[in-house]
Amino acid sequence: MTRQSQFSRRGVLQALAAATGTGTLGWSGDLLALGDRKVGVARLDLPDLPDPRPGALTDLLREVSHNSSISAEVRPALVDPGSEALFEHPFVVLSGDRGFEPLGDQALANLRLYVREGGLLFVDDATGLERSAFDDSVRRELSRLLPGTPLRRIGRDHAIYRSFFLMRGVAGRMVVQPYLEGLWLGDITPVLYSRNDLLGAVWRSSSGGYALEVVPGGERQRLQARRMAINLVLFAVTGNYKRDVVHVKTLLKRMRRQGGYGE
Amino acid sequence: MNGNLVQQISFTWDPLLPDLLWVPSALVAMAILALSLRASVGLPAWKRGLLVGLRALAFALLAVILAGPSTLRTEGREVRDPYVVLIDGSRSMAVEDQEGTRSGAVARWLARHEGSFRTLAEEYDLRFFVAGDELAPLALDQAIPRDALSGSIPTNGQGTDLGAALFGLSDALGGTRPASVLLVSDGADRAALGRAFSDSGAEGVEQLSAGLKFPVSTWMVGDEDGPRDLAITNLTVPPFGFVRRPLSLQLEVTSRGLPQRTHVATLRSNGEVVATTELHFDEDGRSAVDFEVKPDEMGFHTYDVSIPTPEGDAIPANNQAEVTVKVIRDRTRILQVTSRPSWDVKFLRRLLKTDPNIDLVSFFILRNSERGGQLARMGNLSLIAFPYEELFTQDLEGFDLVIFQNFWFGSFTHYPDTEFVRNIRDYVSRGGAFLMIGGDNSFGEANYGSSPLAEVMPTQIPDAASITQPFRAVLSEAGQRHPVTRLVREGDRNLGRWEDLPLLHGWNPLGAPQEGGVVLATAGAGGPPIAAVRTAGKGRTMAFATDTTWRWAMAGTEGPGAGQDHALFWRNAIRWLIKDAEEKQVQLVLDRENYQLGDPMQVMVRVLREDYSPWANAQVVGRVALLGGGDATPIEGVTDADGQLTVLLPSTAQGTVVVEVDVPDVPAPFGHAEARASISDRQGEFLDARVRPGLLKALSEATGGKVLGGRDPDPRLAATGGGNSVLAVDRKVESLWNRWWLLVVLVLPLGAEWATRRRMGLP
Repeated sequence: MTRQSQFSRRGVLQALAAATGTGTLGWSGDLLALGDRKVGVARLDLPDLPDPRPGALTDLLREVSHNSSISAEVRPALVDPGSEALFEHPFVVLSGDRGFEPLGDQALANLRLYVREGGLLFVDDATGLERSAFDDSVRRELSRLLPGTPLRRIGRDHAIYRSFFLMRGVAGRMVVQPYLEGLWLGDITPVLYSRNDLLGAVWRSSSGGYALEVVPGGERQRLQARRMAINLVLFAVTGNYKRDVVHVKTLLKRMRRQGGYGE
Repeated sequence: MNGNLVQQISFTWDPLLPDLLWVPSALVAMAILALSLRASVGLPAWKRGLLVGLRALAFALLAVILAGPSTLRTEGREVRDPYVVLIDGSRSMAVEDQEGTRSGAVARWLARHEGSFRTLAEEYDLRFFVAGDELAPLALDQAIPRDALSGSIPTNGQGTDLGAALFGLSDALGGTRPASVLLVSDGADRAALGRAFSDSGAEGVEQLSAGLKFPVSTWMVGDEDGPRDLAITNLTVPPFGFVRRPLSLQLEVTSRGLPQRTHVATLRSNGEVVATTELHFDEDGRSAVDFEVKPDEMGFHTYDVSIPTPEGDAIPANNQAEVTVKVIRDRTRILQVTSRPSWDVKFLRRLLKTDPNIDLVSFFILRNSERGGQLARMGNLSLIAFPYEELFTQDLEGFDLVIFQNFWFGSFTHYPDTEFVRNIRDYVSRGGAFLMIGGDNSFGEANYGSSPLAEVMPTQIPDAASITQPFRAVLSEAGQRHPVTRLVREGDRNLGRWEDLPLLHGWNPLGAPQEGGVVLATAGAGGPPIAAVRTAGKGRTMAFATDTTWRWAMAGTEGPGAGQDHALFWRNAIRWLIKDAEEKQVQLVLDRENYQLGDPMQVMVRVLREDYSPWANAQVVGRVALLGGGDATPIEGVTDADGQLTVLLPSTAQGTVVVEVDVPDVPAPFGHAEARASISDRQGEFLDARVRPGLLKALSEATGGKVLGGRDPDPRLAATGGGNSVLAVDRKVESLWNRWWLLVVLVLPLGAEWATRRRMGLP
């Protein structure tokens, strides 16, 4: 591929997209969408837990498509955790502002298998309260999900703080809890829990503006929350890549020292 | 036994007193003498002397009688002492540096001194032995080794061990100690004596030969300035090598007496020239060079170094050497790059990260250069530089496998990436492995079909858009047998397993297979290819034209094997791509890969059942043979409770040996195993065939023998002693103390002392 060959099929389509203004979401990711090959998110559909921030996931995925190389499916799915459809979505979100009934056995078994097979569950408490019925329900269900594996505070060295933006702390519409919690399986965290209404910070109204005020930090806090939300999706897709990549230089140096190179 | 009956009489002592009483008796005698001196105080000195002297004389005579003087009468046959001519029969004696071979010089010497040997044979029991691998007598004809005279002194001993030969002489003579030994040798001893002389000089030889109770005279054959020789003295390799990692072979060569100062050494592997290098020698005639090779595959690799024989080289046999190296896999190094992270990227990376034997270097393009939303433009990004220039140039060779997973150079750089793509093509041709996985930045979407990479890909890559519909991956005929697509061993079960796999979504169109390309799976029965492999040059490539195999990882079902197909498939693919050996049910292990000629080879066969538990009582048959022909040594036996069978085999010929075993109970091809080793004589005679006069001189001096000089010494010079001994048949001891005249002799001084006292008026 010479410089001339930069005018590839991909390049031509990029140019076409830009010239025609097709899609406001970016140059190509969505134009050349390959359907199920895209990165999407599903919201867990529980009968007694309505979506407190309808459309927020779409807003988040648009942010991801705008800012990163990821080709995101901006229409989130709604999935019953008791169905096999759960396994079609490696990233699911459980958000709410009220308590909910205990999950059924099938739903719990599915979720247990789901997190072990590589899925990521993000839980977002939209109440903005230090004590909430939703929080009680979440802790109850997570203790049933992986018995003996308690929720633990996520340290600042976790990949979610650097999966795309370099973050110094958590953010959300509120700051109820200045840290994230998670369940650990080995060195991975298949469950992340935010108490700060993260999706509320990125949720837009039909007019295009943000639907909710961000307190106490205002727009500066919203900016951090938007970054945090994008990091969340990037973490769902890349896992510990950013944490491991710091070891790459060491690895390459070792490989060079051991030989096998043309230098 | 020959010799006349003879009688010999000798004097001996047969004490009458036990050993313990001698000292007390002596003290008593001395006390009596002291009292005698005291009692004679006042007498003139001569009288005192006379009295005490007579008493002391009496005590002395008594002591002699108590010592038991006796005669020893020996009757027996007179025999001639053995005179042994010990001839060095090692291969260094075949060196031509003395008007022919050294052994030829010995044969001529034997012929010239036939008369001397006849004379010696009259005085001695003349014997001739050759010190080869064993001590062997030379057949005699009228006291002369006729065969040796005709020049047929054997020189097939793999090594020289003069010490072992000398210490074994008494046994070879039926327990008789030789009176004289004449050692005829070049002194090129590489065993204990040679090492002692090298380490400690004459003192070391003296210590080692202290147990020899006979004189060893020596005559050295061979030219002190020779032989003129170019020799590979050492070719060493590490105990094992790693696939695609540099492997160093260290070569040491010596050149003696040859005018040519430079030579060319050629390294070959399986008959193909791998490298050549010019040898330059220092003042001591030594040269050392390193060859560096990179074995492409696991297994046994035999390397052969040879140097053309220069004119005048007395020992052409040491101009060639070979070694075998077992090449194993180090941690597998994989480079995974992607232009657009996706679920498929995540799940493959997750799989690779969980394998402790994989060093994974991943680089994900997280932000395209052409795009960037408001937030990304504001900075604070936690991005790292993608060192693509280093990765696709200098670092490339260090990876066992490069994975392009939905990766397109144009997604991050306007750099003319033709160079990088060409590098990857060349990397594959040299033995690297390359895997392209589908996506909207892959295959035809990124114009790889018209890039240099297309030359090594399994199929043609059309410039066509991706298809987005779901499909089932269906195995082709080749795919039903291929290890990449073998999720379970049994063919029918494997087909069923593939039918049960979750559907995949979307694929990149692939074209017809290229030469050597094999389609393994299609999108639906009879559909377009989605998986294909190819061996390209020394490397391997694979095209997998979809990016949704993550669905195989999230099977959503419990139970054995559930969700494992994703891991099984990709592990198979990686193992095939990097030419990794499958875990075999029949394993063959040699205790080493390089043997000295004559060393035993330990061959261990391990047989495992399908579940990899030990297979006891499994029948094992096999053979060991030199590569390229020759007699085969059979291997046969059954495994023990641990599923193992160990046999020891002799290494009787130089070269590469191939060990093959089959276990009929294990179905083909899994019941077969093979290993290789090199057998050489590099530490043997021809490593350094120089004569060692100092060693022979030290041996003679340490044992009281003579050093026979010149080119034609008389063997009679080495003869010591009278040549005859009496072999005792009967011995008789007769005591003398009870002879009457001895009593008279004893009584005389006592009587004289008594008479003297009386005359002096003493009591």
